Amino acid sequence: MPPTTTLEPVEVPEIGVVDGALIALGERVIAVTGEDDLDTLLRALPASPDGGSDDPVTAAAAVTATEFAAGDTVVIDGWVLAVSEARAAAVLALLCRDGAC
Amino acid sequence: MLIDARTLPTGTVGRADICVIGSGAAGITLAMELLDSGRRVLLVESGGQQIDAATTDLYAGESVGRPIRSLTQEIGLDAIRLRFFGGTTNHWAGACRPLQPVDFEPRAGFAVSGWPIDHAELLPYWARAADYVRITDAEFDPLVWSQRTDLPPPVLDTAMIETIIFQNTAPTRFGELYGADLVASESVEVWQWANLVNLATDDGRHITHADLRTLDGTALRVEADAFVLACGGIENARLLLASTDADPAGIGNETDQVGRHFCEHFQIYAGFGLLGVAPEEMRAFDGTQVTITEGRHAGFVHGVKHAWSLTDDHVRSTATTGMEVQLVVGAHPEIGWKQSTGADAAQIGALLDRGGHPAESAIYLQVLAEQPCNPDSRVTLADARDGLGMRRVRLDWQYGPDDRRRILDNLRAIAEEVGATGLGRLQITPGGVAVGLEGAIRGEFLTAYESRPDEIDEADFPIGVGFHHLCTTRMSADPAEGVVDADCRVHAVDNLWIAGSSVFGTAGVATPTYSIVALAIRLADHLRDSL
Repeated sequence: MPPTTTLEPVEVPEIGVVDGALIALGERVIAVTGEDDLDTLLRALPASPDGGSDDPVTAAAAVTATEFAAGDTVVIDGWVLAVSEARAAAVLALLCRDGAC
Repeated sequence: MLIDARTLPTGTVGRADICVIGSGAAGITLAMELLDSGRRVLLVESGGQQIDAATTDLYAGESVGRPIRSLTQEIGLDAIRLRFFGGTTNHWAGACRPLQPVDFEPRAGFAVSGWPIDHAELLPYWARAADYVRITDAEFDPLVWSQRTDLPPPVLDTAMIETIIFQNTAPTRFGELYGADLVASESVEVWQWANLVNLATDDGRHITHADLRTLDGTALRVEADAFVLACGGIENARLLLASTDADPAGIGNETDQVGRHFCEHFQIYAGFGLLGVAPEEMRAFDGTQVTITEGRHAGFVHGVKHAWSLTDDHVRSTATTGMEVQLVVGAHPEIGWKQSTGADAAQIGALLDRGGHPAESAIYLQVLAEQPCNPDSRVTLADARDGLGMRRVRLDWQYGPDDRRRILDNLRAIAEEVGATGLGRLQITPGGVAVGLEGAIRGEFLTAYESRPDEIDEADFPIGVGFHHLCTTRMSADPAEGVVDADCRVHAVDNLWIAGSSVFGTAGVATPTYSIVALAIRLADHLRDSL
């Protein structure tokens, strides 16, 4: 029995090709948290560790361990996620709205 | 010698140095330990060699509190315990591990807690108990087991979560294993089909004799220097409450503690997870088999497996209760689990991939959690009578929102620790797990579980039991907080001792039978030395 979501990769503006499952996750994050303002989310995300990556998930991965240790987490359909990685998925979903992907 | 009590004339008096009531794990271990002690032992068993409907019915009673249920169905008080030779070991699942040091310590915020002995006191008895329960030895360090076997090393050990070892010994039926030794002994008499109906006393301070009855009406008595109740965590309390010669509240019940603090182990379908560890490195959660090489059980094959547990330091520092997590492992993404709605394993897998820590294993989490003592969770007597004319048991198992809160907090903490270590992500779904019938197919085991995050119910998620009945005659230094002293003697009675899980001072979260056997060995030593 494979995992439930089966989505095609999508081209996200300014990011590149992303697994469609990540976009679906981002929509769930937005639905649960109500955080749907792209600029606010981008400001809340950590800076890219190398200063050059535009991928919010990659940038968030650098701080997830610290956030988990601090209890800075959010629960999405039972999944306990670091707050930045959840926001990063939400950013991808927002970038894909309005037919952008 | 084996005696069918139904063949004895009414009025028969048995005489022994030590009378042990009950032939389960505790009673049989006691009798075995006393075989060469020079003491005459009379071991009393309600049933015979096999299960019997009329005898089993003596265990029926009222469950008026929280339901006693597995995670799938409610179970009667006459089904969770077995009343024939070997007792409940006749359906024992065989999971062995010792209690933890923190279990013996007083814990802030609980009504009563701790034991008047410490963990180190039981270490030599766990070592001796290993042979009785048919495990290799008292070694429970996962690193040692990785050296002894092909088990991989622990995938997780932190200040909060430690990897623990279970030695699994099913089937180990004490009646089948040790009955022949007892029957052959000249110092032991086994009376089957005899039921204790009263511990007779003139003053409540000393047992003069035990009144026994058979279901066909034969009345017997046993006179002994010492009496030991070893009838299980519910029945021990019931028999004390039913013995009212000197006090209508029962014997040993001056401080109204008999039957209180009934604890179970909470069992929860907790959730799922994705870990960045290859299934091959996770196979210790499935376990391996080892063969006992020495002693009377040489050649017996038993299991060894990993699980996770909250560390003692975490339990102390957060004033919480213990928790064990069993992991069922499949490969991700070949084996996943069904999910009704919401963020699923594929989405989280994509997140982990993108973050540079791809998931390799999918896991299902089954949790056993500790219940703190609660004086309102208790065994009392019902008005209804059984086939012997005795009042049936009434069990009022109680737990509350604080217990659920601790479970949820601990699950969240474990999920955060798994994230903090970079191991993966957990989905905590109490109330949101459905179990399918295809679970018997090992290779597709995880598909037997369906995640239903829309059904998560933090206020009322299902809580099953571990079928462990604990603390109803708890061990305490202060008679106001328990029933037996550090030697397992009933505080107020000079010749009555109790064996079994009813004497646990704090429930802990470890499966109890191994510790029941260790305590019985310790009690045998005490009786041998003190009588």
